[in-house]
Amino acid sequence: MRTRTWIAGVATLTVLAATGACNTAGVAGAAGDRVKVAAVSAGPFTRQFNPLLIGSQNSSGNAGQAIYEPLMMDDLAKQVNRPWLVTSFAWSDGGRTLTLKVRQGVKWSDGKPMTAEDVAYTFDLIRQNKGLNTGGLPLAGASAPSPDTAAIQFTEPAYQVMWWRTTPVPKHLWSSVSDPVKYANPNPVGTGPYAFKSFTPQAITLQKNPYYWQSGMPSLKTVQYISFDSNTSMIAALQSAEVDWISPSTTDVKAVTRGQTSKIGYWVTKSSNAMIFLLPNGAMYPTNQAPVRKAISQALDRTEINNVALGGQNEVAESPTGLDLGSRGDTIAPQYRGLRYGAADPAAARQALTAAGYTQGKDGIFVTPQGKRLSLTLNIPTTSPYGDWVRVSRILTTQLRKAGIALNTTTESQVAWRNDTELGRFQLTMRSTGGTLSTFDLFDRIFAQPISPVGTKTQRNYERYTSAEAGTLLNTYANASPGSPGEQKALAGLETIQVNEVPVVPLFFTAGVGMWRTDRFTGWPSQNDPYSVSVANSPNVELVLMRLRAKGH
Amino acid sequence: MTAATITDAVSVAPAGRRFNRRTVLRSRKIKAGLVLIGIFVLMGVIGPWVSPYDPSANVAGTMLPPSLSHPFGTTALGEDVLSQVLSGTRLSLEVGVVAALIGETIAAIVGITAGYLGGLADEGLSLLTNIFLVIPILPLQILIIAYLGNTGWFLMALIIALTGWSHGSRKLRAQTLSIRRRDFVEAARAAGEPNWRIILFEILPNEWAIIATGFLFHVLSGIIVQTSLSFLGLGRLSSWSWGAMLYWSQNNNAFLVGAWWWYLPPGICLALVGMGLALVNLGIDEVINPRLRDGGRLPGRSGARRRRGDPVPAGQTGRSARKK
Amino acid sequence: MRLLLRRLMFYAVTAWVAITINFLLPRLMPGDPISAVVDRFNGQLSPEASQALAAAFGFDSHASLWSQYVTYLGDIFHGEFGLSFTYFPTPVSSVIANSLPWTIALLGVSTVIASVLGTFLGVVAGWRRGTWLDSVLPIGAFLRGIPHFWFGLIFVTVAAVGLGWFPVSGGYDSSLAPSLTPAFLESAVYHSILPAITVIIGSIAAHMLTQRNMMVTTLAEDYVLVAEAKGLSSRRVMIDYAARNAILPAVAGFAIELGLVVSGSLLVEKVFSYPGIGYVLFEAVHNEDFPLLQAILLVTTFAVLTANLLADLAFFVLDPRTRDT
Repeated sequence: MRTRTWIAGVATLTVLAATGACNTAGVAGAAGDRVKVAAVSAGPFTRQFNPLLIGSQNSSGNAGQAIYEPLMMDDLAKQVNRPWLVTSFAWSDGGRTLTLKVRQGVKWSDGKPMTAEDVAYTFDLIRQNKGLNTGGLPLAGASAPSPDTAAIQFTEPAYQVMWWRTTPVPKHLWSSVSDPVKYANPNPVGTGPYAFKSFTPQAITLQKNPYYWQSGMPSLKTVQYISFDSNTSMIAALQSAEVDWISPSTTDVKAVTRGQTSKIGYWVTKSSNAMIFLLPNGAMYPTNQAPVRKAISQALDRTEINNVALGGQNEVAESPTGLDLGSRGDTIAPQYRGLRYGAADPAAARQALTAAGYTQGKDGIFVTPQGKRLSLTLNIPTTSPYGDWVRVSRILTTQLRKAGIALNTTTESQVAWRNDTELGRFQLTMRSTGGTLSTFDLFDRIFAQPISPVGTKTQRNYERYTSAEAGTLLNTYANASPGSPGEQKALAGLETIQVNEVPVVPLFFTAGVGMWRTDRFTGWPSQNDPYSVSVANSPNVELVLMRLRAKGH
Repeated sequence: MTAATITDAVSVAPAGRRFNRRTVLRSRKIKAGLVLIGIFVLMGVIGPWVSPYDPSANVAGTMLPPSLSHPFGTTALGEDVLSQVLSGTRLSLEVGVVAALIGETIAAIVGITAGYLGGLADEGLSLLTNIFLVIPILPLQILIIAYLGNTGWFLMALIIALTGWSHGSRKLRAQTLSIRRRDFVEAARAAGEPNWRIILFEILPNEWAIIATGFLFHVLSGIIVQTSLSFLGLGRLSSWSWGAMLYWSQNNNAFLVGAWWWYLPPGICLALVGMGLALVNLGIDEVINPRLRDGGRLPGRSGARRRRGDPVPAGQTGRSARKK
Repeated sequence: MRLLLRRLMFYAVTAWVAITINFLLPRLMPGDPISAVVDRFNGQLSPEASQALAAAFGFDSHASLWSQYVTYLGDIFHGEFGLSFTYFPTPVSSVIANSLPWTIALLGVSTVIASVLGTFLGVVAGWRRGTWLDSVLPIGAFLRGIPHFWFGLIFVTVAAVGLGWFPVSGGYDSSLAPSLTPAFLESAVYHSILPAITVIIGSIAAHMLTQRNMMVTTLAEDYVLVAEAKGLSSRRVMIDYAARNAILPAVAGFAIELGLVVSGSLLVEKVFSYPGIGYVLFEAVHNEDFPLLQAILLVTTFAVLTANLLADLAFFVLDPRTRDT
């Protein structure tokens, strides 16, 4: 009798499973005008959409990027700023006053109009609450002299401040919030193409914003953000059409899409113009010696690294100034415009070291004039998304050996690695820097003076490169009005230091992978139609969402 | 479910059964288990030397299925999987063995002392044991290893030992409590033997089975913890181990592209080592508890057959012999 | 009764020590949550953001360790666990409330099934010795050595991605919202089958082996012999005399395993993207999220303590011998 009840129990479970299978399959197939996006694989969502707090975007799955809009849109593919909620702006008072012309006819998703009042209110909110000032804006005040004009006051020349990334919030809803820094904003109201509909820890559902200011857009009725714990589950879900658009962190895309190329498309782009640099520690010997750093840079064949270690997915750094030729070509000083990295030149590196007084030992490794063997240790993290860096380190070892430099690699968990980087506890490490559209920002992070000594945390100048000249140039740059000769001179000066002293060694740009179901939707960006970057976790996501059209079932 | 959770078979050991070498060596389970373990220990020792290629070197095309030149195929970086399995054996086993040695020693010291001395010492040590039993082990291990950064294998083994010793301690305490009351121990105490001699020569030998099974169990759980931590990307992944192989294979989506040759071998090796350890454990249980062996008269289905070559359990009547 | 009171005191002291360790541990570890956030943004965050984060997370105040500890103890008794850094500004309690039930449901049920099934199989294997059921031993031994998350990965590859019989990830279908509707429950059960099978296979071997050995040992006891001699039916002897005593250690082990459910779930949840507390824990470690870490460690510790207490009570009830000491 016992066996019989046992069999009955198993049978019931099987029936349940079977019916479950049929049902779920049915639901997945019927979503014609619903696109499912997985922007990150950071686990279950938590319900908070406060756009002024940094943490919030990642934990609500970046769904906020389809709900809220910035004042000016960073077109990351073309590397320019586009007027968005602000149509034009002007500086005055030596960079201390910023006058914004706010677009008219924009409405919040609850139907109320967005005006310059909201913009001024948002900046004032940021000024009063330090915890919201993630851009470090040196604000003095904000006002709205007319419904379409907002005036923002700064305490110092703010030409290089990234004010345009601020997302305005509705004054009529937020003025009653007691503590904006701890406000989770569970029912977000924004100006973006999609409005919030419902939340579960696994899926955030958005529906078309009927009041969206770009008429006729968007076309897809529903967007769902789905949560995943890992890259693998995200990719597997794409393969079984449980999700339509994903941006996994660096993965071997070709291998994963093999056999399904008719259904799955992808595009690997620069997700931003963040460059991955090799950071030699400028506060320690011998990496604080320019000849050593230059020899390292000369010995590298960046194309080989990219092809072998990164599957050819990343874009290599071409200009020794560290600037992106494509978008920043005109900021490169004339004398460096034609300068490019060539193939690896270990012979030249060896020559340069010898000329600087280094001697090559019997094992082929150079010894410094002070007698220290050039055996350097590279410190890298292993956890995703840095898994590829281990591969890179292997190629680096081989290439550097030819120039007479021995490289050892130590790996650590990401937690430990970022601590060590910020504290300066490394001889060589890699880090990505400069993912904004601001050239000033890039050089600021490389050259910020004075350096934090090893053992003190910093978020700038991880490599602790000391240069009083660089400090002065940065200062001039910050205070010069955009496009002025003063700015150009400062820029040229900084580029000269980078080219000659090589405080950091440019390697390649970060790569963002976007993968999607081409059999369910069309309108994805591509090489031929680069209207946006391909990743689902950038502010450009609404550009893509607005272009997507559903294919027949 | 991985790290030390279930209390293993609490063998109701008959009193005073001492180490019986003959019986141990004649147990088929122990022999089979030792053979399995021996193979992998051998692999661990000579692995790096007999690997056909450098496990970290790019020697062939990427993600190649098994072939004559690469019996286990290659990885996404063109490394030879067989070489990685061979070279990785040492680290995978080392951590488990060292963790078990340290952990079991601590467990023995704490457990036996608590059981023997009783009173306040017992209360104190039991409190210590309980605290360690209660603290969530895997989260703790993850926490410590993630933050410590570049941890060598010894440090990892130490951490595993320090967080996982408490289970063995409880069992040893229970067994010590029961042995302490036995006549021969009382006699020794009455004769004035110092405590340490009693513990070392009267009590310990009677607990060899529990210590041995506890040790082997610890080794298994240590190996699994090291694998789990490596799989999560913690610890020093620049050295090869089976767990590191699983981490890299998952990182490179081997599961999604069907590169079974990459992730099956490490898992199967782990299973075989575990099987060996478990077999030896079962064998030890049978040695000290002859009732567990095949043969002997027992209730239940009377088809219990005695196989040739099995040691005849002492103390049994001659009936089973007749049932042949 | 005195015994029970002593045990309770024991638990109270243990709880307090565990709480203190939970407080100290995240603080002893190097690093800070702000670098975690900066790192997450891969170079896109301006360095000033750190100051904003410090203000938001409340790092401006430099309270002494002791006063932080006192505040921490007070907060626990009020059920206030602060705001999580990873999911700022979500309260820690709601992060845990969202994920803990899943873990308990999945692992709780799987553990129960594994224990019951394993015990049952062990009892039967012990009873029917000398038959093919003895092969349960080497099979069980083999299963013990396999890391169960490896099993899970293979299941996902074969059953979900390859054959498409089961969903690849998640706790329920993304089109549904958690509620007590049949559709949701069905979806939840369907999504839990693969993770549950993984957990069950991982833990059943231990139960089986333990129980089989216990059973065999018990069967050799004299009172079983007497029962048989009295002419009682085999089944009655097996259940009422043998099994009843043999499962006592299993009860203790089962209770303890239930308590450890939370810490054991991490790997399975990672493999299946299951929205439980194990994954949240991993994220908390990764982001140096002290409030969340502390709370999870606390919850886990209390689960284990409660389980142990229940095991003691169960023993008290089931085994009269324990009432005498």
